[in-house]
Amino acid sequence: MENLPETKADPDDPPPVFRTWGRFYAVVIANTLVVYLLLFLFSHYFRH
Amino acid sequence: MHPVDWLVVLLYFAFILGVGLRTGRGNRGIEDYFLAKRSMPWWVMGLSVMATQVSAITLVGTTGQAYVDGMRFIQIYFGLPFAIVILCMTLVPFFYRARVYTAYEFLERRFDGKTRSLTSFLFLLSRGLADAVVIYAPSVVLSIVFGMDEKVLILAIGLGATVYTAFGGMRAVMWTEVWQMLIIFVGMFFCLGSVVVGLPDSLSWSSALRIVGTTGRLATIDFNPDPKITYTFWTGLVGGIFLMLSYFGCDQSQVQRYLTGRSLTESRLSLLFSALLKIPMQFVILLTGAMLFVFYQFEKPPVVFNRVELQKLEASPRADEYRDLAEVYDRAFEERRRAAEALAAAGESSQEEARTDFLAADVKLSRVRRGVGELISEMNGTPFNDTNYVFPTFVLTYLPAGVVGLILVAIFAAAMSTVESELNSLSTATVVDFYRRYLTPSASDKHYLVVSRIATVAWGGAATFCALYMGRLGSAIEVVNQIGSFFYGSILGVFVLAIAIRRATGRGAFWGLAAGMAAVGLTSQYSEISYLYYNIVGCAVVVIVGYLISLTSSGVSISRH
Repeated sequence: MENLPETKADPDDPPPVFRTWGRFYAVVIANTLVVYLLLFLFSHYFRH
Repeated sequence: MHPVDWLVVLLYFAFILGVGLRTGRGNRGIEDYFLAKRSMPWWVMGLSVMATQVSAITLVGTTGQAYVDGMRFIQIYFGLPFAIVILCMTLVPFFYRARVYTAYEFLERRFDGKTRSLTSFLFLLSRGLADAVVIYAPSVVLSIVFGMDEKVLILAIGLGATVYTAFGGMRAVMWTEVWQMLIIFVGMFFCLGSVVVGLPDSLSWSSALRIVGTTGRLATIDFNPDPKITYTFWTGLVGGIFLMLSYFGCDQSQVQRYLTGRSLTESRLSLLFSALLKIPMQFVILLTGAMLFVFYQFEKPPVVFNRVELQKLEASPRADEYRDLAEVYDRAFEERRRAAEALAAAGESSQEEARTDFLAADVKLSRVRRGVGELISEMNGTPFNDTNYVFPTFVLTYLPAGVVGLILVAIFAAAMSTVESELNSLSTATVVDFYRRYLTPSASDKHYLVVSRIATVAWGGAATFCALYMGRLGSAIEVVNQIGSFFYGSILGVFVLAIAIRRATGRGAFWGLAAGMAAVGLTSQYSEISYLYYNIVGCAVVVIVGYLISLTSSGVSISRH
């Protein structure tokens, strides 16, 4: 039986769905911007 | 207090003590005691990070702040997600791979012993003071609940948290914090739910928001560029990024959390998790305070919420002046209640007029309230502020048995989770950065474990003692942040020098830090900019002065880690 390569995940890997940390950070920032937009709309709608 | 509430509180204490004592068993050395043997999963670290930040001040002070001043306070957290992303890319991997116990240990490897000692000392000073505030705040709430002496409660909370922290170390701290954070979440939603349920049946959700929105209390974003105003989008974003970079990157109580991760991935995830949840969580807490304002449109609030001060005023020579104001207050409240009802019922065409009437009535009521506050202030000779009393007064007066106990438990959980984290990190910095570094460098692990427990007890005792004298510092939440702001930015500057500037030397870092702190001191004295900007001033001065001094130092760089 041939030796299979090591498949254990690197402990510094991001969650697989994001593939790279850069993408993960981009999602966090995008999510934050959406929250700011919602807060702005909330603030604006109930301003008076 | 109802026996059911007592039972809830007792069950909480029994449960948390049980969790702390069970999970804290088997510490064999300081890696166990301070870093939980670097074995924690991300969600435990994330909840622990959040629990450390949510103090009783957050629950009690922030709701009161939203009631008095509105929700604009939320902007202070706008820099947080950006700061966390920057940290995950920079400092977190540095610290994690360096296998250090404290953030300041890293500075000795990069620079020298005196830079490490100075930064660690500043942490001990600022956190020791902040810990005292964190113990003091819930004692305010509970002294009202129990009608007991505030000092007795300070002793009970401070020393109570010290006991299981000293026994169990970091693992006990983090697992109790997981449960405490869950209790806080439940308590938060009960708080908001209780206020909303207390509103009149005829009042719709949108009418309630319209009433509070009319006063400007729902303004969560303000683009005013004036740097003197603390709660604006720009101050929160720019000043907030530096505050959060400093807090999560250089404050041992936070750094120690992500050093316990079983991998770097877990450490990064824990911080990102807490960053994503922070703003929505603060929104819920602030919205509770804003809705409380609506609740008190239809139920008469006390003229001031601190009933002890009110009783003192009634017994003072100025009682007649107070009674006159109280009569005016009763009439002003009725007028505002009618105006609020009219605003809630107003159609499109009559809304503008109803808003004007309501605002005029609200100003009148606020003026009377301010007048009574001034009487108390003159009577005591100190500024009067009852922000922290608003929410507990509501809980005590209007909530049913059992719910009061639950919310009290959430406040206890918030207080104790912060206190225990601080004590653990204060003990770590004391033992690792001073005791092991200077006094006994090569003792056994068992010896350090004993010393660590003694240090935890000593810090718990000192913080409790300081808390006894913290009584009249105004809105406690600002005090905590202000204390931190005097040191945070300058310490961040030292870490920027360490990581980003290859030519930086120990001499440059040390004198840069001294210059940064002096600059922050001068800025606070001679400038009116918001305290959130102090971190930028401190950081910039440390980096510039540190770099220039490094250029004049002989022998340039020490290898980076």
